[in-house]
Amino acid sequence: MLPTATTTTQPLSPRSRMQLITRRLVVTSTPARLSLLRAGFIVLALVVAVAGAFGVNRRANAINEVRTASRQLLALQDIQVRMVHADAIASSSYLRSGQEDPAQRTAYLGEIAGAGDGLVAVSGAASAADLDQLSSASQLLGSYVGLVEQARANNRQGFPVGAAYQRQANGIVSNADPDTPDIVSSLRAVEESQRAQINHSLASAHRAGIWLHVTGWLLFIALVVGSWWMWRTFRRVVNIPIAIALLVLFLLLLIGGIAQARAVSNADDAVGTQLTGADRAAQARAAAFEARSQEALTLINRGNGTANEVNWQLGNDVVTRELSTALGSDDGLASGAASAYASYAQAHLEIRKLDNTGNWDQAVAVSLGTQLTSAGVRSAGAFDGFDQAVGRIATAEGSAASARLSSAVHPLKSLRNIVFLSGLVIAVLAALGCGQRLREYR
Amino acid sequence: MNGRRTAAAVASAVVLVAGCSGSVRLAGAIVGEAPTTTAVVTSAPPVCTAQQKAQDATRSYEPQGALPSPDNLPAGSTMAAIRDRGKLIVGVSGDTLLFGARNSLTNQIEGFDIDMLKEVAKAIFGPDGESHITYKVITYADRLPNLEAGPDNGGVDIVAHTMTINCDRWLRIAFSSEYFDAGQRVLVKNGSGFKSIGDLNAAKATVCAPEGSTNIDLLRKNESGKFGDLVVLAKPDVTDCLVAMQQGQADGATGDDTVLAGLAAQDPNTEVVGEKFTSEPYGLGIAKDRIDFVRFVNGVIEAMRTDGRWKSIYAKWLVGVLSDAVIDPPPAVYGRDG
Repeated sequence: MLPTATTTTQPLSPRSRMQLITRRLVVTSTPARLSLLRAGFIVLALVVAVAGAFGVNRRANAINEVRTASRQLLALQDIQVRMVHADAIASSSYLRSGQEDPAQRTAYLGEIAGAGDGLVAVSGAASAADLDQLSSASQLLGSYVGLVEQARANNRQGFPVGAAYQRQANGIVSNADPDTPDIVSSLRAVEESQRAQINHSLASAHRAGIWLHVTGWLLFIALVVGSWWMWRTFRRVVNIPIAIALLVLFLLLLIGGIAQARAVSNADDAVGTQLTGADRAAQARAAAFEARSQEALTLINRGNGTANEVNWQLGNDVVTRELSTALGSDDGLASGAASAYASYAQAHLEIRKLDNTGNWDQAVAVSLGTQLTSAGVRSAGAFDGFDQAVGRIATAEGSAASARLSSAVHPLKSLRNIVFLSGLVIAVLAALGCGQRLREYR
Repeated sequence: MNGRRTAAAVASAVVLVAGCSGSVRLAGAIVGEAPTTTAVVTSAPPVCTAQQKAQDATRSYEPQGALPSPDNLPAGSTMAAIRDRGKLIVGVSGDTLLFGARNSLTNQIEGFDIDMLKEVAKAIFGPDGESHITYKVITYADRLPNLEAGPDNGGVDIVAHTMTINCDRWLRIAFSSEYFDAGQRVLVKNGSGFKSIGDLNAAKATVCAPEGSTNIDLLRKNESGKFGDLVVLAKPDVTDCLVAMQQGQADGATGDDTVLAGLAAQDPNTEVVGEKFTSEPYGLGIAKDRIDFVRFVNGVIEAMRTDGRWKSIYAKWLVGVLSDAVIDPPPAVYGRDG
C-alpha cells in the first residue's frame, strides 16, 4: 500500500521499491507512451465509429418517427373530417321533407365506410394509450350509425321522435359536455398525442446530432495533440497515416455535419411548413363541417337555434382564423378557399336572419342550396368550393411533408454506415502511424 | 476574454452545423371562441303562497265587449302592435305529435295547438292570418323565459305548447282561459305488466319526464307521497323520453295524456295506461303585462267554443286517439283582476 498524507510513513522494503521504479519506467519511457497513445487513438476512433453511427442512426430513426406520427396525424384528421362531413349530410338530409337525395345518401355512406376503415388502419399503429381512445371512437361510430338510421326511419314515417334521434346522433359526433364521450374528442385526444410525439421526435432528432461531433472533435484534438507530441519527440514533420486519419476525420465531420444539418433542416421545414399547413387545413375543414352541421340543427330547431348558433360560431372562428393567414403553399387555392368560405359565411348570416324572422322555409331552401341568397350565392355550392380547395391544400401539404421527411431519412442511413467505417479506418491509420514511430524508436 | 468569446462562437458554430438546436414545433389543436355573451343570472322561480294556491288557477281575464275585427283593433293595444309588425311570433313544440310537431313530409308544423294559434292569427290579421305566423320551436323549459323576454328581445308573443295553467306560473306569465283539459298518465312498454304509476313506483322503476314540465315537478316534489320510490330521469323534450324508453334507459314516461298519445302513435310497442292522476288545464301563455292581449285571446277562444271551431279542431286531431267522439271544450273561468 502506498503511503498517504494522513498515514504515518513507513520505509519501503527493497522489493517494493524496485517494483515502484519499474512501474514508473514503464509509463514514462517513450515506447510506453507511444503504446499508450496508440491504444488511446484506437479506443477514441472506435468510440467515434460506434457513438457517431449511433447518433446518426438515432437522428434517422427520430425523423422516421416524425414521419410515422405525421401520417398517423393526417389519417386521424381524415377520419375526423369524414365523421363531421357525414354528420353534416345526415343533419341536412333531415331537412329535406323526407325526400332523401340519393347522391347525399351515397356520400354519407362513403364517409362512414371511410371513417370505419380509417379507424382500423390507425389502430394498427397506435400506442396502448391511444388505442383506448380509438376503441371508444369505434364503439361510438357504431352507435352513431344506429341512431342516424333510427332518425331516418322515423323521419320517413313522419314521426317527430326522429329529431330526438338526430340530436342524439349529433351529440355522439361532438358535444360540449366534457363528461360525455364523443367521437371528435376521442380523435382529437389521439391527434394531440401524435403532435406531442412529432415534437418529441423532432427534438430528439436535433439532440442526436451531438454524438458524432463531440466524439469526433475529441478524437480530432487528440490526433492533433498526439501528432504535435510525436513531432517534438521524433523531429519528423509528417506522420503520413495519422495525417490521412486527420483528413478523413475532418472530412467526415464536415460532410457528416452538413448532411445531418440538411436532414434535420428538411425535417424542420417539413414539420414547420408543410405538415403545419396540412394540420391547419384539416382542422379548418373539420371545423367548417361542424359549423355546417350546426347550421342544419339551428333549422331543425326552427327559430330557436341559439345554442347551435353558438356552436356554429365556434367552428366559424377556427375557420376564419386559419384562413386569415396563408394556408399552404398554393396562394391560388388558399385565396379560393377564403373567398368561397366568405360567401358561405355571408349566406349563413342570411339563413339565420331568414329563420329568426319567420321565413323558415326560405332559410332551409337557402341552406340546402335550392334557393340563392339575395346576393345570388348558392350556399351549398360556396361551401363545397371551400371544402374542395381546403381538401386539396391538406392533401398536397400532407404529401409534401411525407416526401420531405422521407428524403431526410435516406441520406442518414448511408451516413451512418460511412461514419462507422470511417471510425474503423481512422483507428487503423492511427495504429499504423503510432506503430511506425514505435518501430523507428526500437 | 476574447479567447473565450472565440471559443464560444466556435462551439456554437459546430453545434449549429450539426443541427443540434431546434425550435420548430407543431402547434396544438386550434380551439374556437364563441362571441362573448352576458351571463344570465338565474334565481329560483317564485312560488305561490298557500292562500294563492287555494284560488282557482284557471281564472283568467274576461274579454271586454265584442271581439274587435282586424281593422278595428284598439289603437295602442298589443294586438294593433302585432298587426302593424306584420307577424305573430309564437312559441310551439316541434315534436309533440298531435299538438305541435313538424310533419316531415311537408316540413310544416301542425297539431291542435298550432290550429289554436292560427285562429288567434286570423283574429289579428284576417283570413290570411296563418301566413303571418312566425314559429319558434322551443323546449318545455324555454316556454316561460321566451314569454318573459318578449318578442323584441328574441322571445315570443304567445306560447301554445301543451302548457298547464298553475299558480306558480301565473307569478311569471299570464294565461288565457283553459282551452283543453288534460291529465297525467303513464306510457309503458307493451306487456311490461305496469298498469299505473303506482305499479311503477312499487317496482322502483325509472320514469322519464321532460325538464321544465309540471310532470317532472310532480315527481320531484312528491307532495302526495305516491312517487317516492321512482327513479326520475329528466330529458330536454318529451320525444327524448320515448327514445330513452326505446333504448332501455327508462321503464316508462309520465306526461299528459295528450302528449303520451302522440308518443304511443309513434311506437306501437308502447301503450298509455292507468287513470289520469292529475288535472292539467292547458292555457295559451302570454306575457304577464299584456293583459289586453290575454282578454283578446280569451275572446277568440270563447268564439271558438261557441261557433264549433274548437270541436272541429278536436275532431281533426284527437278523435280516435284520445276519445271516440268529439267532446265539449272546457268552460272558461274568469274573474282575475288586471
